[in-house]
Amino acid sequence: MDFTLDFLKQALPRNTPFVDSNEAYNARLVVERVLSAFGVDGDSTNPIERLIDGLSTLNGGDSSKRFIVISDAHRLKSYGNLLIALQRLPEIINSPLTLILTSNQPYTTLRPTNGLSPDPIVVNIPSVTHKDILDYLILNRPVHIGENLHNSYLALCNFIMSSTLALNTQPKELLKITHKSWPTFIHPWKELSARPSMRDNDHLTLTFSKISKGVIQSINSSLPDHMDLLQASLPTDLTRCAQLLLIASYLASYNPPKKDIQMLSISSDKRAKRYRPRRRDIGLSKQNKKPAQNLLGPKNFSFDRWLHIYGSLLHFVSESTLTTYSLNNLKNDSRVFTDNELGQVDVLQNIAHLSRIKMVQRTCPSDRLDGMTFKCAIGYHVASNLAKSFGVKLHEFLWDIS
Amino acid sequence: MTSKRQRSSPPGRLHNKKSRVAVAVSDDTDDAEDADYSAPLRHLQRSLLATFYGWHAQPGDGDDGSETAGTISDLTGVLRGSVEHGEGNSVLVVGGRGTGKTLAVRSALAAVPTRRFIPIHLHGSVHTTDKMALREMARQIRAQGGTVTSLDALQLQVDENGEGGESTEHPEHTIDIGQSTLTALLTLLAASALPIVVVLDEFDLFAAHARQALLYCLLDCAQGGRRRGGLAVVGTTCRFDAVDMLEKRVKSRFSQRILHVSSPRTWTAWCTLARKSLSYPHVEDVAHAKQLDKFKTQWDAHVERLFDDTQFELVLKMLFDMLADIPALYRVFAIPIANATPEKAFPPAKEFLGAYASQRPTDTFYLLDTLPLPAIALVIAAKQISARDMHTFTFELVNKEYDDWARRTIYAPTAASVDMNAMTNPRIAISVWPRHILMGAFDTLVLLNLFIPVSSASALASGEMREYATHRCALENGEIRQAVEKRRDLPTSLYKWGHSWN
Repeated sequence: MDFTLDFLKQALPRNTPFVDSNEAYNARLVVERVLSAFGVDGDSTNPIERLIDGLSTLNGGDSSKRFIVISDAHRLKSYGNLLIALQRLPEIINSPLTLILTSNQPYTTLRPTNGLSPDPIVVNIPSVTHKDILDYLILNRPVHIGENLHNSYLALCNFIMSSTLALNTQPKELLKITHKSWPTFIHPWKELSARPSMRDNDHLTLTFSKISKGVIQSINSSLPDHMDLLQASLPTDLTRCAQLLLIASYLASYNPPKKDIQMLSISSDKRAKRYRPRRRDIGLSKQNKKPAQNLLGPKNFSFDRWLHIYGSLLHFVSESTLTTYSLNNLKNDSRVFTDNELGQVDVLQNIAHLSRIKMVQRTCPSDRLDGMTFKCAIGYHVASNLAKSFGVKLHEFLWDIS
Repeated sequence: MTSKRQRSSPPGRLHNKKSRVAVAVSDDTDDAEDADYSAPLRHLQRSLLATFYGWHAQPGDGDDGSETAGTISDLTGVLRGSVEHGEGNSVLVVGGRGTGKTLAVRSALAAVPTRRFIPIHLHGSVHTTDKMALREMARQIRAQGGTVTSLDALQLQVDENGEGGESTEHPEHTIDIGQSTLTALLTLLAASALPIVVVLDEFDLFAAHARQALLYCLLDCAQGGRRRGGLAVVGTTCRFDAVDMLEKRVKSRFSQRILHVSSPRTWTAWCTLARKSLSYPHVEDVAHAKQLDKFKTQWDAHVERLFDDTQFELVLKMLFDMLADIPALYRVFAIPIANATPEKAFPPAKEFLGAYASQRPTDTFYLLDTLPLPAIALVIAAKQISARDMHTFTFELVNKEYDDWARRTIYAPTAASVDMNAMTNPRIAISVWPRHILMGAFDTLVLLNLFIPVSSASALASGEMREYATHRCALENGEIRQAVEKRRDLPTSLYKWGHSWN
């Protein structure tokens, strides 16, 4: 698509508006871009009227060479009647004007309902073949690579293509990776003025393949690394009370309410309390198996349940990491400690804070004070890491682990 | 030499493929030797493409005795009554999509040349409120020489008071659209003494305006003869029940004159239309008169040959059987005509067939050809889930499905990293993709609309975790199976997985 747009920019007149609908995120901005490119303006505040009014005043120049190019055109579907107006512009302003829409989605996804605008001529841009990508990489090789190293560069291109093409088919990105890895690739070759033989090139490729972790990482860095995001969003700046509340919210969201007593009560027979049927014990066939809650997402839970789970968790936490828990000094009697904790204004304040920073999502109207419901908004890895910091294992409190 | 070649390909053998090739060669040789076809071809392209793209009606449209021709004739009569005799008329042109309603109206307007008049075009899909429609009418009247100073005052008034605002004291020439559409309209129509023809495209959408005020006022003006210069209201719609949508007071002011337009209903009429669309236009170019004549003769002969060609006939038949849609026919014809060059001025039937294939509505299926492998794996995982009667899924669910499959199939630990040591054989090594790569692939699929969000937008906006946003797959099983078979770069295990559901 980028190559198509580059071609259009070269082939079309200089005053042709190229509107990127990611940048122009509403009808008004699209119209502004179009009118300013043509050097005209319309009277009305309504974008469609303004467009028609502005373009109707167009005169001079070759009227058959007027174009409007809109990229990522599938976004126009949410811009009201703008697409219909654009497609009917030649009729409305009574002057030839060619509209070029580019999109990675078929026209059927943005076609106005009831055939309100004429269908355009569809041109399918074929996917770039491997050979074309290779040609592109070779054509755009770094200028400082001499003719003698051409075959080495070709070997690098082939290696990059064979190892990354399954993940990435963007020629520009592959070019960036190739340029970035060239110094590392050629580093073992000391005599830069000499021409490496075929065997030398194979040796360079083999050496590079052993140290190409950085290359793969550079590809992956363009994708959202979920684990990195999680690490970044680990709520280390929260109070210990808030962190424990977060763990409690996770358990409340992913455990069935009926199993709370079994999973969180303090009993002498821990094995009996912690018994969970394995998924194969349930006796359901795979066809009818309901997926685990941690695959389907968090469920709503009530405020009271959250507090009770929090209170129960305090028992386990106080047993294992009592010394690290420094909220107050009431550590001798765990019952007193727990009851006091639950009643504290601090807990409520922490809940309000968690809700405000969206780590716990409030799922009821903000004006409701009775029967408030919440939903956990952190993932398993965050909750598990938090639990570790309290010296407990999260999966011991989860009913269904898949 | 040219004459020899022409003799070697007699007309009687045109159905023979070899002879067709010979004719094409002789044409090309003519181009090279005798004539520069750039000027005649430019005339042809300009005229035909302008028609195909709907920029103007072809001269002589509607003189072929068809239903459309009758409609144009009737419509012309109605318009003449308004333009020449100052009558008030209203008429509704009804026909399906792409049958030529707009073309019929344009042809009728073009056939009323005797006296100057002001045509006003409004589109129901663009001018969605009465206010917009009135402003557009003002603009068009002004552009065609009408004096609409009062409309400027009207605009100011509306801006100050808002649509529903009370207007207290009206200065001279000031009207309030919100309060009185009729007054505004009358002022508009009085802005010029010339006859006015108002064309309302998508008439049924105007009927959806509040209280049908614009329609009521227009039809009332037309019926009551409240305008001296003459007024015609022409509506076009594809809804056969458009008149039933009108309120009683509006319907009673409509003349009930309904004209029908339809696509050619017989194969012969369809062929006639196609032949006419490709015929060389009447052009007067003194400078290139000789070349023009020669090119016209050859072009007409080429069109005749096209109609004898089985491939071209197949294109026409498919268009006739499936759509019988005139714009679709024009779209198919436009591509070879636009691609013609002076060196290859006569597009063969094969190009028309290719153009037809490219204009067929495409599925999302072809997108699968360019998808990266992790995205293909997720599509297959989504289908595996839907085979268990779960038609919506989250990212976590497809990720788990993929993870389970990878454990079963590859017998490798599904650690969240790529096996860097195995880079010498990358095809095997990258079969187990880490979670963040799959997340990127999932986003790609959502971006391409292959995975369609089911969660409401408000839920996502209010902070729903994207791993748990529910989606459904837009692809059918057959499409995925075909794509998997077509992709040559799939690892064998993934290929088998793509075939493993019922």
